[in-house]
Amino acid sequence: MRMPIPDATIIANRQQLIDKLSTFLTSKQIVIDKTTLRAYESDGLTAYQQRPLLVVLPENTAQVSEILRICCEMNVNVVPRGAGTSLSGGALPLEDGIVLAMGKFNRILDIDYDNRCVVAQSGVTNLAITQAVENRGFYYAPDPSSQIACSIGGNVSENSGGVHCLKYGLTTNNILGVELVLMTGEVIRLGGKYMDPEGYDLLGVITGSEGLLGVVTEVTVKILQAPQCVRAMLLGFPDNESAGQCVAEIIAKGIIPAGIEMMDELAIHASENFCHAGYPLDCQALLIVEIDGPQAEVDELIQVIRDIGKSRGSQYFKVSSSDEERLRIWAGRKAAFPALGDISPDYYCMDGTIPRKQLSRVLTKMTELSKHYGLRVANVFHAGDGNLHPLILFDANKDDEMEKAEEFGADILRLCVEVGGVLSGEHGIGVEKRDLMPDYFSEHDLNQQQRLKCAFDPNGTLNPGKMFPTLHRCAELGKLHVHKGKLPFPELPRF
Amino acid sequence: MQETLLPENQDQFAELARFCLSEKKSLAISGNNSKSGFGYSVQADIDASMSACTGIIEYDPAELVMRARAGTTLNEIKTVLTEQQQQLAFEPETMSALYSNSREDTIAGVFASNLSGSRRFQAGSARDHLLGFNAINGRAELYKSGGNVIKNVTGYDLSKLICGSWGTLSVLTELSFKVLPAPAVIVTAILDDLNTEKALGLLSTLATSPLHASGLALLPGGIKSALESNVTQANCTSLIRFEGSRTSVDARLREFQTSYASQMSVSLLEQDESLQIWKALSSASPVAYHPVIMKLSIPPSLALRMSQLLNEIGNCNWYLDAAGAWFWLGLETTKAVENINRFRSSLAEENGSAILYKAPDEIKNKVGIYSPAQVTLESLRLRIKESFDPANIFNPGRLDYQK
Amino acid sequence: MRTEFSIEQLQNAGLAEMESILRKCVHCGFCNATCPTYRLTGDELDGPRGRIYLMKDMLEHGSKPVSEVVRHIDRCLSCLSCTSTCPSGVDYMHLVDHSRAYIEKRYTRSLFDRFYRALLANVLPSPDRFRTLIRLAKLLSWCRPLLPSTVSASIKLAVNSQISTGQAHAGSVFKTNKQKRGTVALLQGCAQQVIGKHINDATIRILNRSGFDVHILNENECCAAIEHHLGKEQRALERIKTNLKSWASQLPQFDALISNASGCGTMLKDYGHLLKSDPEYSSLASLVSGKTKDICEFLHENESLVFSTPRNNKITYQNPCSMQHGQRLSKQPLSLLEQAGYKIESLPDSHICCGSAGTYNILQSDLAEKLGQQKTQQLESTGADIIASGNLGCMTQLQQYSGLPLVHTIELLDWASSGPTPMALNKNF
Repeated sequence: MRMPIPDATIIANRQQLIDKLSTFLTSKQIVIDKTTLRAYESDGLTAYQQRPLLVVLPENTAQVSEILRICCEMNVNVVPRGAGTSLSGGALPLEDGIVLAMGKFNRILDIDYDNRCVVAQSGVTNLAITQAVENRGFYYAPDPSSQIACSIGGNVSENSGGVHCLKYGLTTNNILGVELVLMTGEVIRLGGKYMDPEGYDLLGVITGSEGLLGVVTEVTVKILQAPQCVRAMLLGFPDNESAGQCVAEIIAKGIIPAGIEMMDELAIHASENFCHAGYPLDCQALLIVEIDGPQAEVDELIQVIRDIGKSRGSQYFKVSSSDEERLRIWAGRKAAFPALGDISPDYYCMDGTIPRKQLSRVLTKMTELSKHYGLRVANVFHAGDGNLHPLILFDANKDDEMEKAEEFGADILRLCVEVGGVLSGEHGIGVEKRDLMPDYFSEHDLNQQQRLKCAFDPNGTLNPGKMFPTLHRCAELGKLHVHKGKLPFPELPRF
Repeated sequence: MQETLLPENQDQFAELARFCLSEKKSLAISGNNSKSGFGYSVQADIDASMSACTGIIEYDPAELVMRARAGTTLNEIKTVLTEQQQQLAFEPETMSALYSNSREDTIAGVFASNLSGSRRFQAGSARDHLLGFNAINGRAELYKSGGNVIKNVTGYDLSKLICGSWGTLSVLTELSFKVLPAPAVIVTAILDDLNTEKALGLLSTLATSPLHASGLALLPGGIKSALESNVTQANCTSLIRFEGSRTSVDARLREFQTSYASQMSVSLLEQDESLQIWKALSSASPVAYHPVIMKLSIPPSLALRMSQLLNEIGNCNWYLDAAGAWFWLGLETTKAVENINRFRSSLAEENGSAILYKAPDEIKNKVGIYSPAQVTLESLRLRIKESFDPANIFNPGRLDYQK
Repeated sequence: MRTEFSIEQLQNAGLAEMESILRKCVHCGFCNATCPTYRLTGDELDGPRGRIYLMKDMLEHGSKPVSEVVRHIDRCLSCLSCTSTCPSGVDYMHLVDHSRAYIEKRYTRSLFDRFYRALLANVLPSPDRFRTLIRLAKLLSWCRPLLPSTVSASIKLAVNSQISTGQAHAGSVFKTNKQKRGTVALLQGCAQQVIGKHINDATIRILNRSGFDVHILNENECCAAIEHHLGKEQRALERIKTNLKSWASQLPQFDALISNASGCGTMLKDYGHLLKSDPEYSSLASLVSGKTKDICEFLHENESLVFSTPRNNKITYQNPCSMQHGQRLSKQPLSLLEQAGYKIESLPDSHICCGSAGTYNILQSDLAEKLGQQKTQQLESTGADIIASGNLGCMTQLQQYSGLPLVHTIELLDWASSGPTPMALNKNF
């Protein structure tokens, strides 16, 4: 994995940059010391590390704007960072770039029940938003597994999903507005406490742009009233295939559960070990199905799902009897990734999406690959929307296991694309899947995306090296090559 | 009227775009022109329609995804989905009444105009359902974005930009979108004796109640105004829609009546009547006969104030949807400019949008179809347009402010 | 997480243990979310994940610690909230303890810091010296504004503390007058016998009432937690060994060693780990750890307490970090208080530290003050009339900010089982 070649002049001008930043930031807001800078060298993906030029911790939008303006002027790269929980290396620093750490943006600014929304600074954690409104029976729907720690600004940048997004959508479907600082330092507001902004949907395209288009400083999110009744079911199966068929049948029956998760044996054991959620340990595949809504509807659907499970050979069935039990069931699922840290020193978490009908083919092939590479793989799967999370277990201290894990991961993602799926369902491309982009996108596809990037950041200094395998200069991308076209289209029908 | 070219596939369209580029010609792109009344009038050298690129390419109900060519009609798609008890959850309805035509909407038109209906506040609009597309950009390059699965963050989400871009960024050729189970039962509760303030209070309470009402509208002109044009006198009617399985709908109706409407007289519209009324609401029918039509999208807490302002202004008809987050508004041409400016200034920055859906050209040109935007934002928009269509060959002028 | 220790380094048992702890961390960042200092500063360096990274780097290189690294490790409260949150089972406590000792050995602090840390390590564990110092501090309170922040913070704490009257009764035995169910030993705590004797008195009454004879443990003044957390590893180990030696003969007769200050309890429960490779003391140390119980844990297990005079006051419970994260005890105190009739108002962010943390509110007074104020605001927002806690340190810290009475859980339980009104409540209740 190669990052853009660092600019020696920028590195040489480090002190000058510090001096400029120090005119409006305190010493505690600029991390300069080379030893401590190392703590910022990775985010949630530790496979890659790079010590940044500096870390800057702004406290307000004006400071963000001023930092970006100075960096723009000095042509310094900027890597925005929320809580540093990205699993795709979205916040991997650059040797010649500053890390713009948004940790101090941790205040909720406005809770507006009348308009069903919350305005929060971008460093506020996903969970903190729900916690702020839950006493009034509200919640914020997207709930990525890292919701305890990940920031709402990071969620916007990655368009985070979670275990409930089949029914409630991803971040992009649950936010109303943002305050965004462009690389030039200009501050714009997109959307607000209402639904349909005018003109091009910039809010939509900012969401999921991985910090390449602007720095989010404030987010307005929709909050929903908690459903009247929520129940989670556990269904255990003797094999992955029956579990997969059960999911297909639930959806074919017209049921959209609040969440359907699937875990394989290895994942079941690791999570149970940490959370004691009460997962059955003798199953090869476990489904967590959550149903929410009016009491009568929930009761009705539980029966239907139980019957579908039975007809697909489920060997275990349990419905949560209290909210506490339900939350414990989810806690187990949400801790599934890191809980594998307890049984393997390292894991590599993949994130492809496939058409659900291809599940069995993909799992079979994955087992073959696992044998081929000699690495174990655990599977956690957002079964409702086809989002796979294979976790490749390895030991980074062993010579070539890291490389093997990476190759294994790449094979899995290529497989996802081959069966009609995509490279990433929710973790983003970052640096991790960057070089696989051409496996999915053509040059035209990628160039169009990069041209959009140019519209926001013509110098390409905001989070370069992420998402796009090859960086083109905007001037070069912007050139219009006109080929001689020919009319009269004799074959083209006309009115 | 100049002739309209009908490319039959994306390659032919790419060829046409290449020609336009080299000959410096511009293109007016349409589907069936059912919404051609939106935006400023387009002055283009060549007219082209995607209406000959038709057909559903892929549809597996259990995957909740459909892929279709741009010119496939909304009606055809709805018919196919209905057979599988599925639907487009964002409730797109034709705007032909608004634009006084009877042409069929194409699926590309539905997304390019970012349509949505009364379920908007829960299910989102077209932009929330487009999963991926193929399109031709202003460089005559065929490119794709997104994919055919319902969860995907691979690359920028260009689907969002395309929705609501009214054919000014690229020409859509194929679209993949999310489809969802259709409710088996639809019932609408009608309340006739509430004044606007009380009705808004009730709708707003329901919007955050666990009863999960999927339609919350207020018709000051009464039901008839929605179904027959130009009805002026009637009751102020609140409409509350419940959808789902029979058991679920019945249980919620009971709870609605006991907990929220115990002292009120409630009448019910069952299935077909319900479908009819919400279809009318989603297509702006109650105000469609006006020469000037706007949609206001506001924070629901401003709804009462907005309704008072509208009543004060007079000479206009309106109804609200989405529990007060939407006003559809019909105005007469006299004083329209003054009134539009008044709504817009009352929605100071960040407090909402006011899109002019229909008006005579001279009014559009005076007030703009969109409110004036922040300068930074405006220049960013222009740069985005340029990044897709550098020679401005697609629908030139349709969204450009020409005051 | 990948580590880079050499084979030689890994032959050192201590380092090998640290390596195995570090390997478990997957850098997920969940810990930052519940770290009190990260929540204050938003700086990775003030969160567990960043500190783990800094410690890893420091230990791998075996280098002299740099001041910036020391600063951020010093700012860790050792509240162990991160450990409760960590899904990967990273043993942060032993990692940070090891690193503190590493720093103590290899890093030269400023003259004043050295002096002051030595002063704390020498005075706090010794009841006599502590008593004297409090008296002195009270006299000096007028000149607080002129003094360095650490000194000033100490004086403020001292001014808010009351020296208990009556003699500490080390070595004595309190016999139950109920049907005897067993014999336990009580650890009086070094600071607690000076400024919180009433807590020990209540504990003895309650244990007697529950049918237990109580032996006051003949401690060598302190459990060693203070020196241990200041990184003075050698002195801590010596003190632990002295304690073990003096308890060895009595140990078999005790059903449990009771601690009523959760900080000390956590320390005693760790004796076994700390001396696990010491041939002479390992079995004795693990015996002590095995027998150690927090008073609430013990009462909850024995279910022998009768609340003859139940109370219905509105209280909120501040669960000390050493209790909830260090010893993983959360339900027991709450359940007992509920049985005693109290109405418990739930406390938001109850997993976050109050800033006391041993000597933290002296050495890191500005962060501690912010945490104390935050905690107080939350405690008071519950609408409770009384704050209950299970650790003297937290009580002393919160007393500085809160107008509400602070009472040890055990005093409330004592009160509800025919004991006297808790001291802090005398005025108003």
